Amino acid sequence: MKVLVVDDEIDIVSLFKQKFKKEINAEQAEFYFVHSAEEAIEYIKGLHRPELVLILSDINMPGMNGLELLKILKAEIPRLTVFMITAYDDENKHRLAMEYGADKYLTKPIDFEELKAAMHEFNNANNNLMME
Amino acid sequence: MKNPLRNRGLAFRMAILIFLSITLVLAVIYTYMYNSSATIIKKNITANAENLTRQTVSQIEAVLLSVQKIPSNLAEVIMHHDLSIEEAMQLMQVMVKNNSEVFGMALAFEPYYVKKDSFYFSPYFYKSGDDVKLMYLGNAEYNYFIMDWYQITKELGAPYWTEPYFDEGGGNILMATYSCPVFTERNGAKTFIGVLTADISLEWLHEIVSSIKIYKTGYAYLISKTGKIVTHPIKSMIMNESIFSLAEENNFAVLREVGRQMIRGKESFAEVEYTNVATGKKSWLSYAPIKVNGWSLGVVYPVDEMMADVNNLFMNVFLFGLSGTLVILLIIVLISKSITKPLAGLTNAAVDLTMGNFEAHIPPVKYKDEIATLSGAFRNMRDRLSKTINDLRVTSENLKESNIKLEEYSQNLEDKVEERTVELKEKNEELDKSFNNIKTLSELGRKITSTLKISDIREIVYSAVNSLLDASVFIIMINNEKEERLDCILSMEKSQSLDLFSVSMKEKNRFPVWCARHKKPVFMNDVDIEFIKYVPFRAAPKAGEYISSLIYLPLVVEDRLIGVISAQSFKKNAYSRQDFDIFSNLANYVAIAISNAASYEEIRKANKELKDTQAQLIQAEKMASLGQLTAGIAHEIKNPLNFINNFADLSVGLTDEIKEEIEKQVQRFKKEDYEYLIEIVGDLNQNCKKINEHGRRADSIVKGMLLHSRGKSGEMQKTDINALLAEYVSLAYHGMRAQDTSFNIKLESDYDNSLAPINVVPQNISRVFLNTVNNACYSTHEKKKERGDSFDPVVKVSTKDLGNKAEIRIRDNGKGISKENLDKIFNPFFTTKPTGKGTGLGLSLSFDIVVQEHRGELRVESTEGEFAEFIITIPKNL
Repeated sequence: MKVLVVDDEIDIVSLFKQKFKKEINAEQAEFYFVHSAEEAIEYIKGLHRPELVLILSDINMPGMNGLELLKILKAEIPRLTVFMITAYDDENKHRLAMEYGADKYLTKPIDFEELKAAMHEFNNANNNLMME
Repeated sequence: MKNPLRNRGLAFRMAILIFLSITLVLAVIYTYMYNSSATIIKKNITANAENLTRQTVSQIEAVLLSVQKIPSNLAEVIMHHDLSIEEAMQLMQVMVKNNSEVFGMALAFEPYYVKKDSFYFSPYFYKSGDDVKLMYLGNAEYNYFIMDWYQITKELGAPYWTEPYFDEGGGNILMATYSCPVFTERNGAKTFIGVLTADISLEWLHEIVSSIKIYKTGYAYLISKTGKIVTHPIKSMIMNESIFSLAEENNFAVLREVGRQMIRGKESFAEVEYTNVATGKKSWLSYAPIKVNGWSLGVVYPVDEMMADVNNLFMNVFLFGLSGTLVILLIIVLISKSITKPLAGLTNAAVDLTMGNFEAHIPPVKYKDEIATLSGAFRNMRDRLSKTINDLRVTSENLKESNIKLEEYSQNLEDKVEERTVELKEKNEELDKSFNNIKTLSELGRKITSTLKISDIREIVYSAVNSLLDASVFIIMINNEKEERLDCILSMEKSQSLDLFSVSMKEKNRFPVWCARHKKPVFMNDVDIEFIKYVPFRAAPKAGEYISSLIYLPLVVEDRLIGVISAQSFKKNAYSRQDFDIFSNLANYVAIAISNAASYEEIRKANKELKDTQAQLIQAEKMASLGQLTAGIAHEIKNPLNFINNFADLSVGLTDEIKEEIEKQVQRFKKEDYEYLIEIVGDLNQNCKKINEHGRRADSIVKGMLLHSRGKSGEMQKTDINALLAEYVSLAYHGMRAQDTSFNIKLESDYDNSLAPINVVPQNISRVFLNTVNNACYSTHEKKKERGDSFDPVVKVSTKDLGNKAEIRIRDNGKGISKENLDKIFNPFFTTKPTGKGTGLGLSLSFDIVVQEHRGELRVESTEGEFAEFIITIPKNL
C-alpha cells in the first residue's frame, strides 16, 4: 500500500516513520512525504495509477490549503482516496471537506489506532482495485 | 421794568402803536422782497456761471481737439501712404509753423528703426520766436524711450495726453504732449514703429484761460488728472502747487472735496462757499471736466461782485420806505390830538367824581359824535352812582353776617380733611405690606427655583410661608401618576411635623383630590358651611384636627399636574383675596421648582444608567477581544503540542523496546551495568510518560480555549430555563461527589414557575450553569475543609421572571471573592484553584456566552469569607 502524506510540518515524517515502523519494516506500507499541496499535485500527476495511493492531507498549509487540494484532486480523479487530517475541529471545515468528497475527516492529535483501521479498510478495497 | 407807554397820553400811545404796526408790515414786505429777488438773481447768476464754465470748457476742448487732429492725421498718412522720413519731416515743419496752438512736434522711432547704427532717431520741430527750428532728440541724458509720452503710448497702442511737465528734451518750457502711436501696415498686420507727438505750451494755454473774464476779480484755472495746477492767475503756483496742497496749506476742507470731485471728472455749478486765496473775498466755486484729456476747469466767482446790483437796489428801496414811514408818523400824531382834546374835559370830571363830589362839572360838547354820547352817559352815571352808594351801605351790613357763617363751614371742612388723611395713611400702610409680601415672594421664588433638591424646596417654602399668611396648617403633596395618588411630602400643623400620608385620587370627597382632579383652587373661609360647594360631605382629616379656613391650590406646570399645596387655619375668615393671590404666586414658584427638581432627578438617573451600560459595554468588548486572542493562541499551540504528545508517546514505546532488548542480551552485561541500564531506561520511560501526561493537560487547556471561538455556532431554541438549571445543578453535584467522596453540601432551589421557556443556545447556557455551580460547590467544599463541622455548606439556585428578562442566581456561602479579584475573575486564565485543577477559562467562557451570544449580563456580588452570588440575566427577545 502506498501512502502519500501532505503536511507542511517536517517532523510529521519522523512521527509517521516511527508510528508505522512495523508496517514499513514488514513492507506492508510505503510512505511518501510532500510538504505542500502544490508538490502533492505534481507528485500525483506523475503517477501511473494514482487511485492506488492513499492521500493523507493536512488542511492548514502555507500556499494552497488542504481543502483546495482536495477539491482539485477529486475533480480530476474522482476515484482517489483522500483522508483529511487537521488540528481544526471546525464544523465549517468538516462540512466543506465532506462536500468536496473527502473519504475521512480525522482530527489531530491523530488517533493512530483509528487511522490504522481506516488504512486497513482502504487496503482491502485497494486489493480489489489491483485485480481490475 | 416799567412800561414807558403807561404814563403817556392816549394820543402818544396811539401814534406809537400805529407807527410800529406800519413799520412792521413794511419790514416784512421788504424782507420777503429781498429774499425772493435774491433767490431769483442767484439763480440767474448760477445759470450764468454754468454757461460761462461750459463755454470755457468747450473753448479749451476745441483747441485741444484741433491739436489732437494734427498728429493723428499725420500718423494715418504715414501708415497708409508710406511716406519717407524726409516727407514726414517736411509736413511736420509746415504744421508747426501754421498752427499757432502747436508749440512743437516730434516723430520718435523705435531703436535702430531708421538707421541700423543709430539707437535713437527722433526729429523735433519747435517754435522759437517766429522761426521753426529742428533738433534731434535722444541721447544718454534724454532717453526718450522711457518718457511718458513715448512709453505709455507704446504700451497703450493708442493716443494719449501726458500730464503737464517741464520738457528738458528740446522745448525747455512747461508743456503737455499729445502722443499718437505710429504703425506701418503690411498685408493687414500692423507693426508699431514709433510715436508722433504734438506739444502745447502751458504758457499759451494760460493765456487762453486768463482771457476769460469773470466779473472783476473772478478767475478760471485748470488742473491736471492728478490735481496739479496747470493754469492760474498766480503764476508761481503753476506746476508748483496742486489743488490738494493748496487745501492742505490753507486748511480748506471745501477745496479738498472740490479737488476730489474734479479729478473724478464730476461737474458742479451749485454754490460752494470758499474764501479766495488771492483776494481773501468770499467766493463760489464751480467746475467741469475737460473730457478730451481728463483735466478739469475750475471757476472762482466773487460773491459780492455778483450781488452788487441787488444790494444797490435794496439800499434805495430801504431809504424810500424810511422817509414814507416818517410822513405817516406825523399825520397820525395830528389826528390823535384832535380826538383826545374833549376827552380831557371828561377826565377831569371823572376825577372829581371819584373824590366823592357828585356835583362835578361836565363840559359841553361841540359835535354830535361818540364823544357827545359819552358825555351824556357820563352824566347819567354820576346820578346813578350817588344812589348806588346808599344801597351799598345796606349790603355791607348783610355781608358781615354771611362772613360769620362762612367761618363755621370752614371749620367743618378742616375736620373732614383730617379724617380723610387718617384713612389715607391706613391705605398706605396696607400698600407697604403688600409690597413687602411681593418682595418676600420674589426672593422666595428665586431661592426655590435655583435649588434642585425637593427637601431644600420644602424647607425654604415652609420657613417663608408664615411671614406671608396664616399657615397654621401647611401641606405640600406630590402627584404620583403611577400609583394614582397624592403623596404628602410636607405636613405641618402649628409648627409640628405630622406623619406623612397619601391620598388616593379615587377619594373624590377629599379637598386635595378635588383640587387635583379639577386643577382648580379650593378656597373657603368657613369650611363648615362652604364645603358643600366642593364635596357632598366632609371626610375626617387624614392627619391633625378639623380646620375652619383653607386654600388648596393645584401645582401645575405646562398643563401637567405636579401636586397640590395647601394653607389652612383654625380661625374663620383667615384669608383675604390678597392672601389667596399671594399664595397662588407662591404655588407657581413651588410648582416650577418641584418640576425642575423632578426633571433633574430623572436626568441624573438616566445618566447613571448610561454610565452603567457603558461600563458593561467596555467590559464586554474587553472580553470579546481577549476571547479572540485566546482562540488564536490556542490554534498556534495545538500543532506543536500534538507533536510533543505523539513523540513522547512514541518514546515511551521506544524505552520499552530498549528494555526488552537489554533483557534479551542480559548475559552481555555485568550485573551492576545491567541494573544501571535498566534504571536509566526506567527513568527515561517515566520522563516520557510525564511529558505525555503534561502534554495532554496542556491539550485540554487548549481545547477549553478553542471553545471561545466556537461558542457562537449553536442554534437558539425555546428552552425551559428551570429544567435546564435543575439538570445541570444535579450533574455538577454528582460530578463533584464522584471525584471526592467527602463532598457533601446542602442544595437549595427557588424556581419561578411563571418563567416560560425562552430562546437560548441550550448547550452553551448549560455550560455556564455547570461552570458557576461547579465553582460554588468547590468554594463551599474548600471552606468546609478549613472549618470542619462548625460550617454547613449551602448552594442556592433561583430563577425569576423580570418581565422582559429572565434572571438566574447561583449563590453559595463559601469562601467568597476578594475585592482585588472581583475585577479579574472573568479574565481568561485567571483562576484561584491550585495548578492543574482549573484552566481559568470557565468564567471567561461563561461571560462570552451570556454577554456576547445572549446579549445578557453576568454579574457577581460577593463578600470575602461570606458568600458569592453570580447573577445571570438573559433578555427574552432573542
